[in-house]
Amino acid sequence: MKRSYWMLGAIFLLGCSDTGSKLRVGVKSFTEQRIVGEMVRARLQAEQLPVDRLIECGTTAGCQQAIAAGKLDVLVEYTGTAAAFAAEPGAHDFASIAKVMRARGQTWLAPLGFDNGYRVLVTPQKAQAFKNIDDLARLKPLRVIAPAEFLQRPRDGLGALATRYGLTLTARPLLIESPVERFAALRDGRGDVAIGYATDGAIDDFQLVTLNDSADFFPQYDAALVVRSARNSKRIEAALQPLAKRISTSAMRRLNAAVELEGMQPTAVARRFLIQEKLLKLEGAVDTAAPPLILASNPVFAKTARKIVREAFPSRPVRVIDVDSRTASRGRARLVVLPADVLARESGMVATAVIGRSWLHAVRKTGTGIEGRRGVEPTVGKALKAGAMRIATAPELFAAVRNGQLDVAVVRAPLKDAGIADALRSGLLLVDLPTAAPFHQRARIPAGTYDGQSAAIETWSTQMLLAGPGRQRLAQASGPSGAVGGGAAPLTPAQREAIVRAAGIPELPDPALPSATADAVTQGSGWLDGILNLLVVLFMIWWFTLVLAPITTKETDA
Amino acid sequence: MAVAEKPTHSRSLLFMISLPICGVIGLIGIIWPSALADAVNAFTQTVFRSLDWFFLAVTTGLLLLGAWLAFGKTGRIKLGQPDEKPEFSTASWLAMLFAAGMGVGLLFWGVAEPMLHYIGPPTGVGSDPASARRAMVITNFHWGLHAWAIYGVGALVLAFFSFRRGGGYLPSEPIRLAFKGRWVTPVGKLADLLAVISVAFGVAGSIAMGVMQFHTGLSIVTDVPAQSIVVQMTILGVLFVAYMTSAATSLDKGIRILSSLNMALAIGLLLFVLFTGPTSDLLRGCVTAIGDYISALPALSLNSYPYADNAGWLHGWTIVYFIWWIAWTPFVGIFIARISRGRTIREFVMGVIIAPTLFSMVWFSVFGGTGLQAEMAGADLSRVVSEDVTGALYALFETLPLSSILAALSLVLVFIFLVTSVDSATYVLGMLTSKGSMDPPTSRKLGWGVSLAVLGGALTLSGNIDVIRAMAICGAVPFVFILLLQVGALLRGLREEVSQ
Repeated sequence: MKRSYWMLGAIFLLGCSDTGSKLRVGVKSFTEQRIVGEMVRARLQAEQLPVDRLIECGTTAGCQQAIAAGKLDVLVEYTGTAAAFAAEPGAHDFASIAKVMRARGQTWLAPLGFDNGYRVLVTPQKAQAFKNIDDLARLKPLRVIAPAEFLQRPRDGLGALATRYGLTLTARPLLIESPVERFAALRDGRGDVAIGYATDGAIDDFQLVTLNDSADFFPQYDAALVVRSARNSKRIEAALQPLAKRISTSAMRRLNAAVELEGMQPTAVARRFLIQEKLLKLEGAVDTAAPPLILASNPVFAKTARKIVREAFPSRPVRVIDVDSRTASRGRARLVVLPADVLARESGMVATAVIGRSWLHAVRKTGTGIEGRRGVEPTVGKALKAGAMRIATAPELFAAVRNGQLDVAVVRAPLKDAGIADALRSGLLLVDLPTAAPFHQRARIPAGTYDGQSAAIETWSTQMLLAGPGRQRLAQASGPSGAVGGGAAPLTPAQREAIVRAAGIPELPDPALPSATADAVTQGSGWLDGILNLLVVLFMIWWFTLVLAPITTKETDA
Repeated sequence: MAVAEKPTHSRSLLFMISLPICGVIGLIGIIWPSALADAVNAFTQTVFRSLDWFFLAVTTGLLLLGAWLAFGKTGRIKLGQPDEKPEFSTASWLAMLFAAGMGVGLLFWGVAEPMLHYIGPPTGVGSDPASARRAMVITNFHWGLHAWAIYGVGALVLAFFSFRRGGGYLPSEPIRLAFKGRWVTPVGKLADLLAVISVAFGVAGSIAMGVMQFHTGLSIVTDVPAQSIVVQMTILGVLFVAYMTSAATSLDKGIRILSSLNMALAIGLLLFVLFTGPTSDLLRGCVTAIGDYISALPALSLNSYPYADNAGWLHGWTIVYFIWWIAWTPFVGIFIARISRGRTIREFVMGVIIAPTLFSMVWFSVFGGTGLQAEMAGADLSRVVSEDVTGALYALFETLPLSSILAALSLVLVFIFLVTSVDSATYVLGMLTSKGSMDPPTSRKLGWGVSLAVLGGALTLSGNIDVIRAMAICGAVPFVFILLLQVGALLRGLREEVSQ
């Protein structure tokens, strides 16, 4: 009911408004339409065609009436909708729909590239057992979570779906309107499958998997731009043609997510997408679309870290620089890979995700133990550094052991590291490392990890962490009178989430480390808090007695 | 007559104590930067956590005091002899105090700060029109009346006691003149010591940071290599020659001319951005921001977010800003006092608190507003800003016509701001170490100029500026109490004046 009033209102407004020669782009009242509508506006503006702000024309019926009445110039439509609403029976594919609609004074431009039809979605765990919708027949009964509208559609709704695939449904499906809540219910196991639109922004967020529609049950809902035939329609079509096939279903999902889940404005999301896709030029052509994200890592972990960062920031090129002891704090890198003990000494950087482990490997030429002249990499912890010689790289350390300059070398490396394997092949031996190091756990390198390693080695291992700037860093970087330089904002919760997900290691960073999530803790620290506050209050009382004390002898001076 | 002639050795004692302390701390900072930064950070974090309410209350209290002094009975009191005329014209006076007080920070934060609040507001999600409006309010809150009230009152105390009571400019002077008791002498000495150390460190840090920033800018605009010690040392050398030249001339020539040139450049840049950018949107934003600021002021001034879980934001932004302004008060305060002779308290407050606030609001509306407009149009400046604050200004210029000329111009501006700051600092340090004399001998100023260059150069070479930031904040915490004592002295002094 509400919606139809709204629609009447919209049509009424359309009737009244006289926007002169400005083009009017109509959108239905949901996010995806607004985003695509803004893209249309941006493209038209770029071609010097004056365009009004978006006109919300409500439902399909309202929009179709408005364009037929000449009150709209451009519309965003879907083939499935047009087939159901206006086309003749049998016209399902784009070409036949376009033909039918042309007779009604609408030009359908080539599809945009995404399809927002209904989809049957399952959790990633279920996806291993079910690939096609057919497979669901094994579940009796099948528990479906769907929006209410899906039950009401006679031809492509739930009833028709069950009939087509021979599914046995529960008596009453779970009805949830909001996609986020619906997918959350699926995740929590309140249903076996959820129904959603292919372009729902939350699909990626829940990592849901689409089941194959092997019987081609769902009609195509290919999005396309519709232009009303008029004098200037050729110019409009030319301006909009470049959008064809440029917005994939997954891209549209991301754009929807940017608005619905991250709260960005459709205008900004649309324009940013067009700029990235080189469909729109920014004034003065600023090249901010994708500045490289700088990741500092030692060569051993660079590959893993780069892969994780690539996945977490899909639109960004990643540049890896070598990590030196203070790279991070100088603000040259946005993200840095560090072992836990080094990170603990690094001010302002907080652990985001565990990306692997690093093991202390002690090697020597002959004998056992770590007595004698010792060499370590510069980042190796304090306990081992005492009395040790610092040499920059592992190969140099191995060479020093081989030619007798050192008796033992301690290096960090992941297990089965190629450098260590080479060193052992050249005659060096792995030995037990008894000395404890902070932030390291007792660990064993199993026998046979390296060629010719006959016994298990007792040593220490620590987390390798991907770290980014924390809140505290910003506090230090803030400041007037020229106090800028190397200041970087902390990673957003969404970015941290993406990194943790891409790393795929469920282990949490060592709780003793400064972590990205813990910096919100703000309680005063017990007795110190009390004493500081007491001192301040006492000071203020003293201050008042000073200021308010009667004025006496000083006047003689003045 | 009231000037209690202090024996010379107490001043040289100050010098003898402060120089080694600066040297030792500087050395520790260069050798063990992270250890020092961590220790100092732990201290400031504890203090911020416990006393954030106090810093907010003090700052707002200073603002209210400023208003009361200007519009109350005391407004007509002249800072100087009753018939004295101001030494500098109003325009140069405003230019000089503005250049000293905000300087180069305004250039970089102009775009960056509103953007950072827009994408990460203290409450709510961000990146929507409501956040944009709030971002402007918060930025103006940090750079507006409160900041200048801290400077203003700090300067007023010194101006009052030195021009009305014939004291020197030393921070201890008001305390010595107004209070009696055994605590006065040691606290006075502590005040002077803190002042010298914080000015020396603040300015040496500024030199280091300024050189690095200028280098960043230069590498963006020209083909100069981005990591080069030779380039940095060359910049430092040129900077040294420039500020030494300025310091060798009198205050009247050097700093005044540079400040005026700077203001002219800054205003030119402002007008250019205003009229080549989305002009009417910017003006609309400016007018709205002033209204929003005025209406949000009472609530914002004392908002310590008590029941929300984001005190971290407050400590990271508002409190740090306020502490920064306090940290710079011994330096800026003395300078403002020095150039304000002959003005009434009302004139002084209007000039030092209201006028610069209005200017910075317009500045942020234009630069921040252009940035926000570009961001909303899809320029994605927020990504640049959140990774490198310095880059924001240059990224914004790229969205405007004549971008390379703008960038070059802003580099000139950064350079002159830097020269002005260091020159004023040599003046202030010279004064502090020569019995608070109004016109310290040139040799003394040049001596400090060389020391600052050496310290700044060492810091530039060590490449670590965290220590400096941490030290400046750390030194400001005790200075809050010194400032309060000075204010107490002023209140007593004014009571005497009014009762006469």
